Amino acid sequence: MHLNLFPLGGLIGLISAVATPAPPAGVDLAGQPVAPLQVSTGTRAVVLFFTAPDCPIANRYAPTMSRLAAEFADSAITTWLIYADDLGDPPVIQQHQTDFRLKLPTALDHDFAIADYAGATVTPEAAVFVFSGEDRSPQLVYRGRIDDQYQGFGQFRPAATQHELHDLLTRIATGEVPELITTKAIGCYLPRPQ
Amino acid sequence: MRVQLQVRRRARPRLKKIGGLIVGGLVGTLAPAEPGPDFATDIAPIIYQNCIDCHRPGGIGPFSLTDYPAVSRRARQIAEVVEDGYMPPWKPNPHRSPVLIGDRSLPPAAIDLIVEWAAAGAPAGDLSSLAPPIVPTQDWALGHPDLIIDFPAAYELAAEGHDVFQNFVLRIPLAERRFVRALEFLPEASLVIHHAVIAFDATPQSRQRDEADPGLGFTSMDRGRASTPNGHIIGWTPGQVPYEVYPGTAFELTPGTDLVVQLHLLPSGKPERVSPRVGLYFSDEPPTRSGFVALLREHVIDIPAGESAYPIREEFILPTAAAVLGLYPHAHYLGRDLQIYAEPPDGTRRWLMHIPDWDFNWQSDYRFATPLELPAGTKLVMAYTFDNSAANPRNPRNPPERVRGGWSSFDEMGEVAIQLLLSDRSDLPLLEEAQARYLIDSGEKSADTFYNLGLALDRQHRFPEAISPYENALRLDPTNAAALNNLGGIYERLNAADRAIPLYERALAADPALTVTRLNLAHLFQRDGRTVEAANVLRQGLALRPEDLPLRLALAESQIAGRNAAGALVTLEQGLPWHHQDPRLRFHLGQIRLVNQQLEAGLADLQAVTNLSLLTDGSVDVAATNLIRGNAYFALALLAQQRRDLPEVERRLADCLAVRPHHRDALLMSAGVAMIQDTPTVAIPHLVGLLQLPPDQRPTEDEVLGIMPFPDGVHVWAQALAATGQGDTAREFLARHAAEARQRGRPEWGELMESWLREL
Repeated sequence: MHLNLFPLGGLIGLISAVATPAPPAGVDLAGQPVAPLQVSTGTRAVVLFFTAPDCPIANRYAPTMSRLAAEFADSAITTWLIYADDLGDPPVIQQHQTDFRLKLPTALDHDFAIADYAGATVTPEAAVFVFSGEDRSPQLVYRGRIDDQYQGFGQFRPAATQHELHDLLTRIATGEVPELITTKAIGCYLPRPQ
Repeated sequence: MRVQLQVRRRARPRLKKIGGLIVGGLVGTLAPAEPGPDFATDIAPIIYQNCIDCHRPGGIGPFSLTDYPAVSRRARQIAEVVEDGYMPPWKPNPHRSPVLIGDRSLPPAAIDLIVEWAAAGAPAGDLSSLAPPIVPTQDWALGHPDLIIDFPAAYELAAEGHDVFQNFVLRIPLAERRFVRALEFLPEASLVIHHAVIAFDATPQSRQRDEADPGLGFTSMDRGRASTPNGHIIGWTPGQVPYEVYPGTAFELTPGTDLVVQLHLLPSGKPERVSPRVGLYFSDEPPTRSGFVALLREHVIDIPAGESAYPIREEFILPTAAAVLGLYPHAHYLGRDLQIYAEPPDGTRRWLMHIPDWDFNWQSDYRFATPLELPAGTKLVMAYTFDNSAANPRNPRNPPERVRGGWSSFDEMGEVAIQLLLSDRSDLPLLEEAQARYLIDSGEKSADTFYNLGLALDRQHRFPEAISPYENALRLDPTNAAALNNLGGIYERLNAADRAIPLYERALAADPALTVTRLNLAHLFQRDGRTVEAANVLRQGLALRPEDLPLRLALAESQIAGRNAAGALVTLEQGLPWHHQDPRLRFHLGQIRLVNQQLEAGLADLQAVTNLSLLTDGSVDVAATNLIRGNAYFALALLAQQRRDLPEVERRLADCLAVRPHHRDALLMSAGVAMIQDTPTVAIPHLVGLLQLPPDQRPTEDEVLGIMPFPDGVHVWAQALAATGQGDTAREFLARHAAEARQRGRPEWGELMESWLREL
């Protein structure tokens, strides 16, 4: 690179890049890089479901995850399954998706970068991003439980009575850009290395 | 039973942080801190002893915890769930019950260690020093069962939805009655089975409910008539040790009884194929002790919306002493605090169980390591509270709504089944009576409850008192065949056949397969000389159940009483396809063939009986077999006598006495035969045998002398009397016969007898 005088525009660009780092990426089941939060125009929102093959609570929510994804696909809301686990093994995850009939775009988050970006700590946990501005940068509007069925380990109702995620996606589907809401998700801690 | 874990607790200096400075380090007076807990030394023993029953490859836990990497990855999770008591799943307060079999609770010191270890980053320690765990296999813990009952097909549980209570009615392939001493349930690695209740149904009710419900099994929390004989409470929850009966309380299973497995299933997120297995372990020992389940149940539940501590209380007073073996508390989602205790008459309180944070999804039955003895008059108390507030995280409704009692899991229930061991079997009807009266008093005025009260009084021979409860049962259920039969039985005992007969007839109209009722009714007809009607009742029964031997024998007997030997012959011959090897049929058939002049065939039947055995529960019933074989040998001796084949007579009598040493007529006849053969020394032991029979069976003097040659018969009878310590009677007997002989002009006999009298 030539000796340069750091033009002003470049500096501003650098600052703005620090302020909004590129959304993190993972790999898909074939090992190819994928970036769930880098979206084309037209995508209104992205839902990330953090899940794990051996978490019973996350597994009980598998049908709900599939149903929500299908319900809001037509509203330009894309849903991803995120397996945040340094040992995440594609064949095991493939089998998990077959068993639980999960047919959604998938990212393996071996370095927990996506989880850190979303602030997720357990499975199942949902994070919802909307995209606005010229650079289509992701904006977190929801993080937490899918609904209120689980109140703690072993403390769950026969069925949910409040459906926070569904309610929020309904608002987004109508064009609203909600303020950030966070709720406490109940489930299995992400298996971060000690 | 699990051995109580001994946790090594180190005396570790506690380092206090003040303003960021570690005091211990600052002052420097403490010994160097011992290292914190590590996996190899501290954590592995806890995990391997308490967790890997379920958390192992192929186990019912969702993941394995059989090595360091698996445990350390979940250290934070494990610390949290053991600290808040979610794992291991164990709800009772350990200080408020006797020692429980299979107690899965962790001692507080073990919990502290895990929490401390996780907080320190889950250090491994010296893994090379750690032996690999002994991982339980998926096999039967009690060894290979005597009988394994599999599901006919897997039950398909939907991926999502509410929990399901599904009852599976499984045929038990039994050819004969067996006694069950243990039962093991294998969930077959299914995470979705939260709880199983094992019951049996000897009635067709469960089958009918199954058939009325599409698919495999039927959905209900109410197990109906399915129960466990002899007061057992058999369940399964993850990690529970297999059920073994308390010694002496094996329970009977009769052919045709169904196994009813109620599964509490929780959807897992994917469609699940549920196909557990049940293994039965048999015993040759029939039960020697009786058990009983006392059921306490609140019948009126009406919880206002928002009520956070709705109390219920039930009391049941033990009419006899009994020991508690275990219990099964039950409530639905709103159950919060469950207390069960006993108050003996001395005013103390003995805790049976306290579950301070009831969880419907972890309900279980519990067994005490040793029976808890309670005296007669002890009050059993169930005191529960329910939380229908919004703050109850398990409340199915938010905002809360009024909830009432009922069988749906969204209704509420409050009950406890308490398994009792009786000190005496005769106490059973007293407890049955107390239970029925308790249920009736608390509002359960059902036909079954009234019937149970009638039966309990009936069993105590309180016949007049039993009439009213049976009548109440029949008012509610006019075609209750058992109540009709039993009420008929009471009128029969009270000598009111005119009332008994129509009740028996109604019972048979309700259930034509009731053999006992048919026999009762036929007996009454027969007694009143209504022979044709008796035969008809029995014949109708045989048309339905041609394999029923008691019916067939009763019909033949009735025909013989009506002097219809030809008809009896046909009746018995028609039983041969089923009972060819049954000595009872062959014996009666042999006799009736003889009467019908079929001498060779009759002889062959009787000879066959001497080689046939009467089987009960698949093994030879020696006493009953000897009884019937003895009768056959004696009949053969009579036949030989007709042929004047004296050696054969002797042989058959000896055969008879070998199996039935106290056969009166065989003894009498043997004595006679010995005298004919002029061997009085052989006759005397037979006569002694006759004199040792119970008084009502002893032959009279005339009977004995009638088959003996005179005067030698007088001599041996006197000797037998003397040999059995009746010297005076013998002397009086001889003196009397000597006097009679002289009177009848036979002084030589008189002299002879007087010489015998002197010899005595």
